[in-house]
Amino acid sequence: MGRFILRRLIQAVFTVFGVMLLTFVLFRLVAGEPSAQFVNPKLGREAKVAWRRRHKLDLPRLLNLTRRLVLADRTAGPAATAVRNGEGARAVEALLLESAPAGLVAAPVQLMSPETPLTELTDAARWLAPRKTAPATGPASGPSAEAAPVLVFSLRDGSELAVDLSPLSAAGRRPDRPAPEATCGDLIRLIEEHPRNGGRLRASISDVSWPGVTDSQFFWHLRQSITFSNRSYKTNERLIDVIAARAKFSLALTVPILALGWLGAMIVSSIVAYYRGSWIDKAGVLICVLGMCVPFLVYMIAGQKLIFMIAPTAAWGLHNPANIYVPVGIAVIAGLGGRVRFYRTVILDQVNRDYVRTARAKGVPLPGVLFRHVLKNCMLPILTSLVLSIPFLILGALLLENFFGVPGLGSLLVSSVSDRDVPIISGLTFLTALVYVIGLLVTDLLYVTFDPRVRLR
Amino acid sequence: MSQTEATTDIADAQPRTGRSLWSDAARRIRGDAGAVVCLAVIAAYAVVAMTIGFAIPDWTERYDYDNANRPPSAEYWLGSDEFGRSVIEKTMLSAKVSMTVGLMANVISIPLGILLGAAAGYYGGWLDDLIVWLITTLSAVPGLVRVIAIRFAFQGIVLFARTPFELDLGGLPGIILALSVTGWIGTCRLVRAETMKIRELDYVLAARASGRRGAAILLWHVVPNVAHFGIINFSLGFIGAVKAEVALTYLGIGVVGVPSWGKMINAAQMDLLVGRWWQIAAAGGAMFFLVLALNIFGDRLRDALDPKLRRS
Repeated sequence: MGRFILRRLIQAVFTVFGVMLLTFVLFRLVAGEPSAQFVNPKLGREAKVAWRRRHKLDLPRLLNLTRRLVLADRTAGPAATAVRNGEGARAVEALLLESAPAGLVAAPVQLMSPETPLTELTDAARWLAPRKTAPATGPASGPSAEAAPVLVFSLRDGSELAVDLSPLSAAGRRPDRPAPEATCGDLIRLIEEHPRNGGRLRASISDVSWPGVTDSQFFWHLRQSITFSNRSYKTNERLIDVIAARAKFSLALTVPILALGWLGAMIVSSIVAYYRGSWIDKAGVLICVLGMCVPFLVYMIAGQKLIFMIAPTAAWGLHNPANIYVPVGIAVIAGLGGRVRFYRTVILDQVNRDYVRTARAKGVPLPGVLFRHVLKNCMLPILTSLVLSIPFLILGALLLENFFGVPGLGSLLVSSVSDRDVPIISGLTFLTALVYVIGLLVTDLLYVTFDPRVRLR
Repeated sequence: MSQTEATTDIADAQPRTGRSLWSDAARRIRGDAGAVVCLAVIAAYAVVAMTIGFAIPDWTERYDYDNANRPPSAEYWLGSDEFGRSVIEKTMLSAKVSMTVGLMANVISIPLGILLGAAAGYYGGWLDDLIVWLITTLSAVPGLVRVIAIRFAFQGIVLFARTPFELDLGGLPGIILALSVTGWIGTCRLVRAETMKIRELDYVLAARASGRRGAAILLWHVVPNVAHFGIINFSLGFIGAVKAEVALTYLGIGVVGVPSWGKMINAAQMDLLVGRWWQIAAAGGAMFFLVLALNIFGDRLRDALDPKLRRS
């Protein structure tokens, strides 16, 4: 029995992981990036970069195998290492150099090696400012000395080192850009073997470190999903706070639907099964099938119209807390057909068993057999279907909540779909899956407790 | 080579007495008046869906504002909509979307479910583990949420752009894809369980002993004996697809630019407040009869194809 539960637990862990993988693939890989919708394009490129960084869209997707060019300052002194551009150059911006403790680092590049082309390291296309065309009327002034992509490093001991990157520039018509064939190794050699360097500034490529590998969108997504701390694109709220604020409305809707739906279907199906074969049974089954065939949306719209005619204030919103019973009633009636049909099948399956014949033979009256012996044996499949329908209630409640103005999780999902609020959709999808997996585990526990056949397996 | 010839010789030499599962099921369905009526209803819907596009080619250009929102009358049997177009024609045109979605989603998902289920059940091992994991993972997300999530993710993606095979996943192909990605699970589960029983039967052992390869046994001996689960699930899948179209339209991620039952029902939210009931009645009625026919026909088909119920 312990092994059975353990196996189910391991399966549940794999399932939860699979759902996280699914939401990652759907919402991070397949779905397009909606930054244009949430960042005003008039705020410029910086705002978009900051927004992407906040939602970790700038990280590598699966594994962070980035390495960076590291310029280590080997001198000692009070000043901080800094870098600036030479005349007319913009190589600092092109190489995305940032200051780091005891040196400088360039932008991270996935799987960087000395053979990586320099163009992958650079962000902007040029490392020289565009040359101003000489005014046509001033031939005497002429262009001054040709500008070069020069990096001027200020080291910690106060000394300076100017490195000219012209040997790596594309020859010919485009000397203002890095050459396509120049590699990072060339840049490292250029700095290391600079005649005036003398070991003061060391250039190298950083290593991939262990926890740094997990600094990617995938692992971030896993952490976010598990802790429900996805942040909404729209309001920047954490999902767990949103759930805490809204779950009570969803529960106020789904718990009565579940309980009343079960009770109503049990009563009707017992009556129908009791009169099996008679006209009551046939009429009941017919009504159930007809009820199943009406679209859920028609139940909702027609139900709302009916309520609107009886009590207009109860048709929408929660001004009066009793309004919550309007959608509950509609959901119970809409779900009755399918439930009764299933429960009836389960009961009739038991009615033809030997123990029923034995009970009848020893003189137990028919109602006693039905309600004491048969229903007890029907409870297991019925409870299973009940537990498994818990997350599917989120589905029904999804349309109902939105339609009747109940501010629960279902209406949140609906509004997130129209807002393209990806983190919320992803988190809610994971939440429903988690509830389902937990429900499945509870069902297994019920089986282990009530069904000796499972225990003996 | 000689081995396969020998196998076919043996197969041909067998006397062909008795009825096959399929001919027996067809005979039972023919003898069942309810099933025949339901099949006729479904066929009528299919014919309407296929031909109505040719009968009304200029739907989007029809405007008749003098006759907008007319209640049912002798001229407009089911009234007219906000553009003065006949609701009965709109309902028939909408059948095209629902029937296409229902049919295509099943045409993709049922063979997929049969093949994956048969492979998982027959081979077992890591393949079985993988497919079972896929099933549990996908079924952990409740149906509509799953369809919404996939449909949402596929928005704005166009496959094979600027070729004759252009597939705009934001439109109808996206709905079909979202429904078929999730629709194979039920079939796969049933077929897998049945294949695990069949795998141990004598005729599979005989096929193996006569030297057929695993894949050939799977395709020619196992799949034909589990395929009826796919047919049984067809009606269920069809109903699910038709209902999902309505829900997706309500959520604003349904089809665009063509009339559909979902749109007609959805429009009734506003229409009913001013007393216009005919659009929701027409669309709801059309859906009701289709789903009813599919439900009853599916039940009768299951009874006909279930060997346990067969008289010897």
